[in-house]
Amino acid sequence: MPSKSNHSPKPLRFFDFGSSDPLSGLRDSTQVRYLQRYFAELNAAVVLEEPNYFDRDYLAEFSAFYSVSAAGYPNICRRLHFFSDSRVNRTLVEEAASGNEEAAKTLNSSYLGFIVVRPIPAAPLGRTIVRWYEDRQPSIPRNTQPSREYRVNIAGFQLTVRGLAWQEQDTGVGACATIALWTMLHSSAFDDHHAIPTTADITRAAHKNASMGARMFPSGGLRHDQICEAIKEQNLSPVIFEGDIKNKSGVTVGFSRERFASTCAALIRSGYPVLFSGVFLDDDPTLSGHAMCAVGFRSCSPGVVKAGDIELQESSIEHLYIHDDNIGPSVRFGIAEIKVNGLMRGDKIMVISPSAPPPAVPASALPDSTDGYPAFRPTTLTVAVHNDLRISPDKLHESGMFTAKFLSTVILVLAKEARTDAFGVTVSTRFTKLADYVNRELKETIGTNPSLLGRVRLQLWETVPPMSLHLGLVRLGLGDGDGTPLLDILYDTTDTDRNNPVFAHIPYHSWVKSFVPQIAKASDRDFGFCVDGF
Amino acid sequence: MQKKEKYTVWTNPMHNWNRAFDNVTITPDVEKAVEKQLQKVDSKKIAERAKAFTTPVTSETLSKTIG
Repeated sequence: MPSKSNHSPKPLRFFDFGSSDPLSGLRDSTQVRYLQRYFAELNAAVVLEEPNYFDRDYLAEFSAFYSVSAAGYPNICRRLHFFSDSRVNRTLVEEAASGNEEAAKTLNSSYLGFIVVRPIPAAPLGRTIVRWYEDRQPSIPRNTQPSREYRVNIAGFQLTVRGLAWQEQDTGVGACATIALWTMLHSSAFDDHHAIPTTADITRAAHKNASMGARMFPSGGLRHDQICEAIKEQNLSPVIFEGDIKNKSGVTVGFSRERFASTCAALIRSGYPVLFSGVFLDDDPTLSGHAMCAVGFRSCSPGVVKAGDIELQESSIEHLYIHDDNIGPSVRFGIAEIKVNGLMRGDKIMVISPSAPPPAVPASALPDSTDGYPAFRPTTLTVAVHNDLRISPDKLHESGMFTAKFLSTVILVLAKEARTDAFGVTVSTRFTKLADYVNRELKETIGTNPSLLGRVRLQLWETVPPMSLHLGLVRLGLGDGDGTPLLDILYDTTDTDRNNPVFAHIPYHSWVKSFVPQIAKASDRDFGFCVDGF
Repeated sequence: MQKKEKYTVWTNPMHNWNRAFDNVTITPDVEKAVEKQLQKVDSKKIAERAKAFTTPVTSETLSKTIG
């Protein structure tokens, strides 16, 4: 029976970040060492411990599993908060609690995130949110669209951190697939959609219609069909992408780089985290696989595309940021192509491996806990999308590739006329809310010309037939290595792929506008209404 | 020499755009030349490349356990 002392009031405690803080006091594991290094690289200086914290996720796990265990698990957690400012101490917290805005500002500006420590000795790391490292290349940005803002309340003052929730699997209530799904459903894309489910909710939802006799708790894993059912139970739609590389026996073994990288980038840029399922390279492929959740990627600078050719812009991305319950949150993975036995001649298969960024101060850096982690071969990608998204991400890519090919042919002729170098065309896609496209994306693209921005926004509102809440967006760019936008094509997401439904297109140059009708005729495609973006 | 800033098609500001083709006068001859080239585009090659983006999900995949 749990001791009553578990619920006795206790004061907040302050620790210098390092070997004597409560994180270091946890059982040594890859995850603990990863988090220590992550916070060290964020220049963590102080750890504030809330000794009593009721965590919604752990309470659900407790109710579903731990409350009836003979081990007598308590239902209360600890929460550790990390700060980079060494001035954070009890006095500053007392001032913030007293309503001193300057003190609250100091706490907030140095806030790095929190870890909920569950009273489960084998898997103590519960809901964890960490701030992203500073982006040192904002023009080739790290895309973390699925991240959201978490608000933290302590004694009357509020702290905020932008990230996406991670936790380690306990196997009582959730295995790796459940955890990856749980992270996925925290995405900012679903902010106005639903209450975020707990891991216990997800495991229950997965078993509701597709248990096939399997027991629910302890959770040994989920099948893909159960993952899809769990997504549907959240009133969202599952989309699965199977690898495009087959071996000589016709069995799908993984992805090509072009398919994998461009699909992941398009989905993450749309705010949809991507659940990877697959196998470790050194594992027996007949064993059950592993799941992890991609939550960000580093954009790549566009390469020069050969005249007359096309390139999916994101096919060259080199790094993904992944929540892996075996390691930790936002782990940087590198993408590589390898040859393996049994593939068709010339085929390569895509694998990912941890690739930690170089430490800020190599001499004092903590060891990299991801060293030696085996390469992972994703075989399937799964995402949860809004129900009104009926057009597939694959359709956007396919459609964009066709239009790009025709546009690159136009450029060949124009280059000859202008006596200048000809280039191919890049293709990039995403889903976006109509409001976000008009508010943010257009501002980012043509915001330096306010009168043009205003004209385009009003034309979209006044001259184009009513558009859907979500849009499919294909952006074609000049493949000269500089990423000059040429044309946006806006797709209706509420129709089917077969109807190739386009609301409008926005050419960013008059010459592009001149040739869209010819491209439409030659490719037998409709580009909807034209809104001049020049 | 200052290193040129790199951008993506989503972050490139207008003042940095390549305007190499903006001054081409689009005469009827240019239009005809474009039309002729567009008729020669081999859609099959793109369709073959786009095939990678149309992989069906098998029942074997759906029944595979993860975790």
